[in-house]
Amino acid sequence: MSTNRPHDDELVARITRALHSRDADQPDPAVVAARIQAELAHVPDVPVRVLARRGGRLVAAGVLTSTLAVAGAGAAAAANPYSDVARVVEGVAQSVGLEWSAMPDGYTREQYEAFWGAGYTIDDVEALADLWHLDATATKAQAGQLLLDGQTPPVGPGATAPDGTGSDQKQAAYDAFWEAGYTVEDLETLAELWGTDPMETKARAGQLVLDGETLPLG
Amino acid sequence: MTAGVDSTPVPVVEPELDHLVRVHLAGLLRYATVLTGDGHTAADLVQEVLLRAHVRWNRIALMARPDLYLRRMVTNEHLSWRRRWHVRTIRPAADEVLAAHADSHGDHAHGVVEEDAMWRHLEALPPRQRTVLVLRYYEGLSDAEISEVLGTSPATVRSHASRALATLRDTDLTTRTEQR
Repeated sequence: MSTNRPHDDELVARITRALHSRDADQPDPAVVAARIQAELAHVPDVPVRVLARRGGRLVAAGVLTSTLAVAGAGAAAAANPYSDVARVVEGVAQSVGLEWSAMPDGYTREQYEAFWGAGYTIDDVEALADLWHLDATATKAQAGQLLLDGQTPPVGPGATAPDGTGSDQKQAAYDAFWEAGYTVEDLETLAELWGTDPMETKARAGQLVLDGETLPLG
Repeated sequence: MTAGVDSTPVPVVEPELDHLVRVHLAGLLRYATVLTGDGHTAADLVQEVLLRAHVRWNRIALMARPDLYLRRMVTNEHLSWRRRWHVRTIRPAADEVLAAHADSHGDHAHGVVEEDAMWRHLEALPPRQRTVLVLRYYEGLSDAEISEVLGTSPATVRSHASRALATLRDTDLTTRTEQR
């Protein structure tokens, strides 16, 4: 860490200040903890965007922070504290002129409520994501839309056992890929070669590494 | 320089989750926020990682440095998901607002503008180079620890850091708005 040239000291100090200037944007740990608990308890979650900023952005941040503080305090006991929080936050953002939604792109609140309201679990999300080759958000959006359209997703609510076996195998493949020294650039090259998404690419490449195979990289 | 472990009290459901949350959550959120530059993305990243870590916590807890392993999980998710996460950066205050702030608050505002400029340079770095700088100058990790987080060698870490500093040294000199 001390290999910088002497005249880099000011540069390093400025880098450090710039990095630390951003940690004020961190979300409230209590809110995130409650979100994790809600996921584990199969209670719907709504991403809560954090508007905390500095300088001229403090007006919106102050209102939001006080809203989140109230929500965080009651989160453990509330069945679903996040929808209300998100709606309030959206209202706050819109009232100060921001075009902003608590929901991720391509995922509507109606889809979200239909999906989680049907009793799906985080393990079901993973099963559907594997089946459809989509990320978690797109999976929930697609399944939610199917339900809204009166159709039935190919995995039923609560149908996936949370044994973690598949996850462990996948994680072992991920670990093998990185531990073999491959980089994110290698991952992108393989994803293009195979036409797969990053997670699937990493799992497939990692499995090849575990099997002692050579990856098709130049 | 180091962002320490936070002991913010949080609600408890299960012992393993309680331990993960109590010991690691706040630090991981700070790291992920600085890594991604976005609090919401950081919340989602850390949430995903801790949900997966929770399932495998018995194994992770046996590791010499679970904290580094969790940072590795966060880092890998960030690097591999970066392209797929549609993060809409919220900028309700445009440059003119910061400029007005600068007029009325002198040195402090100058510092904010300078930090913003440096942050933009950091954002423009290749992801792994920026990650090394975050781990080194924000998390305060040694190059050996960073190599463990990134799953690479300390020499590669030094190479990333060296190239990043060289880029910032050149770029920053040409774009600096004013001297102190």
